[in-house]
Amino acid sequence: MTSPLQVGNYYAIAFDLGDMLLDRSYGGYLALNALTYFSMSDLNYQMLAESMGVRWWRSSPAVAVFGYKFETAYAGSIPTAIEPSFAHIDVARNVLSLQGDKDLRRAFALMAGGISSSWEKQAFEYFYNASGVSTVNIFEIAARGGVPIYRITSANADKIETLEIPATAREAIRNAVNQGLEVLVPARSLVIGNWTGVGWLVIDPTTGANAWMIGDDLGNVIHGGSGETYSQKEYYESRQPNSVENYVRNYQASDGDALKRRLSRYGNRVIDTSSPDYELGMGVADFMVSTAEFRSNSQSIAKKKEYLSERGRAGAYKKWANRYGDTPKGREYLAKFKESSRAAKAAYSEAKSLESFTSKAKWVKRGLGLLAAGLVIHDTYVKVKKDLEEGNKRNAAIDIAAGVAKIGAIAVLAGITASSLPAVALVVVASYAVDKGIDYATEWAKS
Amino acid sequence: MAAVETVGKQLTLDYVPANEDIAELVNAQASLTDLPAYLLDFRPILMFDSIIIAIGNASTLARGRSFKSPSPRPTCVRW
Repeated sequence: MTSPLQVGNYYAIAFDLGDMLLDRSYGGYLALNALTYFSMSDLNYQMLAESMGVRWWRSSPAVAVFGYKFETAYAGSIPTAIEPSFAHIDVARNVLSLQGDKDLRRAFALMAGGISSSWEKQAFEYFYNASGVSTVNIFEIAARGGVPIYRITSANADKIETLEIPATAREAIRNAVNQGLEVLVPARSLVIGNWTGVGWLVIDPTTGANAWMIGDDLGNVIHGGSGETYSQKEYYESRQPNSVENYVRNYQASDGDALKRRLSRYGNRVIDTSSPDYELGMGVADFMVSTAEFRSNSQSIAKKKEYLSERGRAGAYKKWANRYGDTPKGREYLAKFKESSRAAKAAYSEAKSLESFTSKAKWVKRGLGLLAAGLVIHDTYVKVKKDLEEGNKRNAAIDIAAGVAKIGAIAVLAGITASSLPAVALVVVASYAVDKGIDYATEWAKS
Repeated sequence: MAAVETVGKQLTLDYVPANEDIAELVNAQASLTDLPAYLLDFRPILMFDSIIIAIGNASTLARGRSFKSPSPRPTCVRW
């Protein structure tokens, strides 16, 4: 194997044996993003320092965290659902030591801060082919769009309340100004691609030390930059081909068996997601799945969890059985594997039966309850009408009382929790007995 | 580990399912977004050049947490 080289260049040589660890590839990519940010910032500091006659060095390491965020929906403080969101860089620490003329040092500090902020945006453009957002870039867009940029000090701190920006950003700006620092901030939040928020610059007027901050409308405040929302979505979605198999797999752990059977005739063909038939088909499938999900209940969910843990155990036993082979220990694990597999299978079918039967039982019970109530009302109406035609008000009153008692009994019996068809049958028999009992009492009262 | 030893190295923080049951549940889905976040516990693993050097406590997916990086004394200019 030969690769062309050129004298004087710098190379990295990488080997991939086909079993790349996730951290080596994906973690390495993130780490490379962060290191590139520092490399490019440092290179630009050096060029600037040479042109200004200032010397700079780091007496302690700078720290940046490059990562992905989820957009999270909360019920109160409980996270309920997540959506892939955006990549961001948070520069936790970037402290430079400077040597040179006092005014030049101050100017260098401010310009170097601007360089860093600029790379917090450019990193996303280089690595993700997506628009990045950073303080410098926000100022530029504000200036171009005619949005005023205010310089806020303790002398005009009341201006903070007039800013149309997220509450978390306002709080951070108020804190900075209260500490005697100066803040530069646009008058309102800006929309940049899929990102909405504001950026601000905090300056220590004495030393020229500065912080370039951004805060989005979700309340995140970071000392760095952010990528657009879609950059991460593209990463996730490209990993999920739109195949029927994939769609079915999504519902395999929940309630997708019926759906799976229906869709299996399409095999594993990748379907054309742009076709109107696909939209209609997926709409119908979604409706079916959402209906099917209603059939879950606390008992079936508990059984399903049992099934999942048994399946997990079976997997581990199988692995160990293979490792120990045909030895007493291996045979013991093989027996355990079989036992767990059987238990998993049993728990799965039990979960399924609980789901379908409960749902049927519930509707059968409701239907029978309504039918019985209708019949009782009709029967009472006929009897009362006949009593009144005969001029027998006493019997009419007894029949009305009997009707009310029957409806009451039906309501009480329908309220009993029946978790299977035999239990519903028992409720029906009990209703019949109560009905006959009340009829008997009515006849006795009339006579 | 001294902070200086991490300079230029691959220091990564990943979150993994907290136990076998959750891993099984997560692997059965095509995407994490198909599951309710409050049911899933994840624990952080800190890796230095892909070798695990620390494992943290489990907590619910998408909860806010903070990473405290080494912070030696500041000197002259800070941003």
